[in-house]
Amino acid sequence: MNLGISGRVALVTGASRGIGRAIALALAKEGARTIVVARSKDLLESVKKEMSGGQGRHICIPLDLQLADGPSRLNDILNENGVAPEIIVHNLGGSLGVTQTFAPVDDWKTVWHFNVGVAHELNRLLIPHMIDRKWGRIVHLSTLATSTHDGYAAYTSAKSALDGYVKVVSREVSKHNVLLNAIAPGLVYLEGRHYAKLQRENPEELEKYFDNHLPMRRMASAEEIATVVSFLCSEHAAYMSGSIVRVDGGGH
Amino acid sequence: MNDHIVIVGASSPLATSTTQAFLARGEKVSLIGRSCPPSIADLQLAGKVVFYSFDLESYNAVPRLVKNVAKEGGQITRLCFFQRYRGGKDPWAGEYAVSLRATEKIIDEFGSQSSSADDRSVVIISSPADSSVALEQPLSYHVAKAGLGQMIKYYASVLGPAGIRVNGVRPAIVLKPRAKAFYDKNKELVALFNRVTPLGRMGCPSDIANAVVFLSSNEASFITGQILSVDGGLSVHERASLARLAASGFNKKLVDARWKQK
Repeated sequence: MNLGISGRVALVTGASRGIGRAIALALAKEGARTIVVARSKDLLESVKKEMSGGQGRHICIPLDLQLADGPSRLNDILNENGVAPEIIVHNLGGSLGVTQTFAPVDDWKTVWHFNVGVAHELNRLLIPHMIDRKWGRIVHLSTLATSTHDGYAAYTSAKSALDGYVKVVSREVSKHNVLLNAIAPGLVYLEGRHYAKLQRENPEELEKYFDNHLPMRRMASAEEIATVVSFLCSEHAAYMSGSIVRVDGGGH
Repeated sequence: MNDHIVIVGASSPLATSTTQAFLARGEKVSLIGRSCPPSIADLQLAGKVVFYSFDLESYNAVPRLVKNVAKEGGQITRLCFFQRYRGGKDPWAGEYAVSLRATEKIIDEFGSQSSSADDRSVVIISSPADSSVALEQPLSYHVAKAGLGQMIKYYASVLGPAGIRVNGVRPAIVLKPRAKAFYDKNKELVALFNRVTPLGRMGCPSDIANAVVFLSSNEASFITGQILSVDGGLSVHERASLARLAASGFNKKLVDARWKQK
């Protein structure tokens, strides 16, 4: 299926590895001029090397978006490059290892900023351009844990807030053909992560997890997540706004 | 050696037609534009062109972009400019940035890149509004097109020694695909255009594309600093005469009588 986004400008945060990387590659394959942002220049360059459709037109921006001036610096760099994203995938996010339910306040704030604040700051700076052009697609990455409620408190509550953010903001901008949605991935196989290790080291426990939670009995690949994200970024998702799309293999 | 053509202002239907004409000749084409029209998007997906989404209002960022385009697609040999300001803000600031400064910055960067090509060229799309008044267009557009006319001559002079030719193409009436419905509804206007144009029809995008391709080819190797009107001969008519003829309903007898007298 031609997604109708060839030639559009797409921005992917947290694009150097895993799901973000898969999303960046998928959008580039659909012909989008893809801007990838993450901290590591080397990893970004290696993502760019795999991108389709004229590598030179894609842009790597090594930047720490968690820094106080990260989003505004990104905006400056985009302006300097003469590009205004028409598609944004806010893949940046994670628990940052803050696992305690009663985590120190600073840690709590950091996790919330990482998962909600940065995306909001970028939207605030970049959505006006989309409204001007009457075309925009924004996809936030939520998590299955916002419906199962089994996750770390700071992370899961931040993602739950993000779901609310997507629903509220989408109502405000959808009349301009600027569409905000989110996906909620379930268990994704990512090298180096807990469940990848489990599969190698303790497959019995993983089987037990499948028995209880995941009838499909396998993890998603990053590419399977990226496919749904690409769809939400496409011309075909024109009537989707404020949706939180579960991509969880039917898990719970 | 094959050409690497950079087309600026990809959303113009004339740019699409010119792209197709260059591709038909087996040339490599890169395009720069604010937004990507479906025709170009399809070519990009098929791997036939590379499209760089870029807002020319940020003209200071243009040299970096042009370097990038050359790095990616190889030495640039031809530039073709189709852009105009289409934003909704101040049209003066917009035309100044998009029509004039962006063109200047791109040509400067192109001129400074080293080249092994014998013949390099620039073609800028002009308009009858560069020297006449077209009241359906804003003043800023007229001034921009007039300015580009001088830019063509100036760059022809300074870049000639480097083997770069700079010319313009001045279309008049072109039937663009997106205006087809309008003209289908306004048959009388089409009949009038056909009547006042010596070649008896409106232009089509490929008429313009062919002229751009010609001026961008070795066949035009000794032509520089010129603006070629590609208008089916429309501009040869004296305006007051056209007005009189139109008022007479193009009285055939009147025209035929004079023609026979020579």
